[in-house]
Amino acid sequence: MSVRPTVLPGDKRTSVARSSKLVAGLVITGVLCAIALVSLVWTPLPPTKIQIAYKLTAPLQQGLLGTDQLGRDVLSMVMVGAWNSLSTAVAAVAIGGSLGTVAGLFAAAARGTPEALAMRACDIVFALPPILSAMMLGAFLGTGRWTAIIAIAVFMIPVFARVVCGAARQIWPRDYIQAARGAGKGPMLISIEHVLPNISSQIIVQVTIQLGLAILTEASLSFLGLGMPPPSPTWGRMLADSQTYLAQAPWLAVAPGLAIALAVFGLNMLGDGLRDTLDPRTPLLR
Amino acid sequence: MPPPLVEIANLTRDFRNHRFFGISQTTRALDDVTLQIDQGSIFGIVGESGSGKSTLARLMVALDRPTSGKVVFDGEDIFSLPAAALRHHRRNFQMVFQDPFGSLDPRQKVGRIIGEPLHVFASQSARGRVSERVAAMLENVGLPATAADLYPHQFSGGQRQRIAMARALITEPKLVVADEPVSALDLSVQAQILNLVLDLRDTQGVTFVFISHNLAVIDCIADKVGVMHSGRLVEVGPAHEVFDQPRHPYTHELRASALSLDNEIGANPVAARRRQTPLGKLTGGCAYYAQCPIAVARCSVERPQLRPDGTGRLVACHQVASVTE
Repeated sequence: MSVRPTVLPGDKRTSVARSSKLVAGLVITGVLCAIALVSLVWTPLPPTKIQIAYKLTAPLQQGLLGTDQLGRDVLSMVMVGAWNSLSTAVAAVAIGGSLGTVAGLFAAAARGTPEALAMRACDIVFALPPILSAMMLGAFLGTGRWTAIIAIAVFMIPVFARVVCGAARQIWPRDYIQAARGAGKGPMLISIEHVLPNISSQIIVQVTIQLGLAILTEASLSFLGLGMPPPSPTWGRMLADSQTYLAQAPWLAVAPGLAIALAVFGLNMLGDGLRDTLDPRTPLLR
Repeated sequence: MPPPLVEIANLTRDFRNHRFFGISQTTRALDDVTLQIDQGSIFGIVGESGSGKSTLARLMVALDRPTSGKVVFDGEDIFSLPAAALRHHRRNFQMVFQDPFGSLDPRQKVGRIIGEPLHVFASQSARGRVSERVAAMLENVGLPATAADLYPHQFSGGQRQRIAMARALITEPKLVVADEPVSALDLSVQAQILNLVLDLRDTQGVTFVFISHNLAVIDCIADKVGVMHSGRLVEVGPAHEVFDQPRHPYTHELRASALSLDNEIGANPVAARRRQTPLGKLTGGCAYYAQCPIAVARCSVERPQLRPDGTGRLVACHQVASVTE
């Protein structure tokens, strides 16, 4: 009879696979953040500088990534686009994530009817198509950064509410929560002091994954003209604008497309890596 | 004689399992339990899994609400108190849980865990001395004061149970309800915890309710014992007497089925004859009727009440006169 080898958390085989994901995620996300931050103080050329004489120049002939139909430097636009999409995504996840977390903690603490109501409300939001709703919101609020942020945040609330409620419900029956009740603590204090710290890893993982999704949604919205208005460059609008010149100047589509794909990939890797490192057992709810 | 510290009267707790389409099934976890616990005593509760021991424990410290009946603690009916008053009252009764790995918050340091009830209960002026009191309490339960700066996972099971004990005792409660506090521990560590309980009773006058499925543990530390079966108390009396000379057939069976060097596994005729009956089914007769070796027709229709048997014990059995050694 042979003894089956068990894989322990510290085991080399798993930790290498895990840490490679984590490292890839950290590197890609780190580079993305660095580029976004650098764009605030320096870009090769001002991203809005129009040089008609150099329009549609191929990469390396004029600037690292070429120029667009108005002769603007694509690299500079991609860099500023990184800041625009990252800041929108972070703001949306911060708003939606915190509201959703509060709702989820409340639902798990209250149980019964309030929980059922909160979860059905989540179902209703899930049933709405996000892009259409964003268009409606845009019709009311006018297009702009805040429209995009609010439209994305609204759809983050139920995601976080569900994840947090599910995780918190697993914490509530634990004996240390009972002990806290025995120590005279009310449900709010217990939620903040005991439940939240013990589900923080799940929340961190969810924040990372949702950041990736928020970047994707922001790109879709600005592709449709519902994001930040011109002249501030966004990846989504760069993609939209590039369609007309796809045959002449494919680099116009490749640069923002790759940027979006890499950003989402990096954040997903980071989320997966964090999940594996922080809590290896909990399956992720997407 | 001082009045009892805890008086439990006709305590009943039903659990409802919701099914589809609003059909629900009721399980009676605790059935009409009446009990008194004397000040400064150690009261043991034994019974098999699912007999309602933990439900009774949770009700005694108001972590759950009963379907009917009341718990009078130190002259006050705790379930009729307003929420704020009950919260304040909680300092007088604390609980120690079975699993020393689940009862301590893994994200908090030991000092914070033990001091937690003080932060809630103590007045502003007294809070400054929390760390001193935590250190003193750690020494009380046999841990170094430096333990306060460590996390629970840095301790062994026995040490963690000591930490849980320290948390329960820091508010200087009158009653500590310990639900299977030694079941998850090694034998040698069990003995240490039992000695700690005896010590704390003798030095600080704490009243303990000690729940266990292990008769030897109860026999070792309890003054009085209550035997539970199917949510009811079937026998109450001084621990040694109850285990030496059981008066209820179920106590008899419990004792006979306890593992020891003298008892051979499988040698117990009662256990061998045993069949499973639906748990908590609300029937008219004695819950032990189906397994009872001395049952008569009356047992299937009339539920026996807990009555004094004339030797200073309470027994719930119609056939109490025919139980012999």
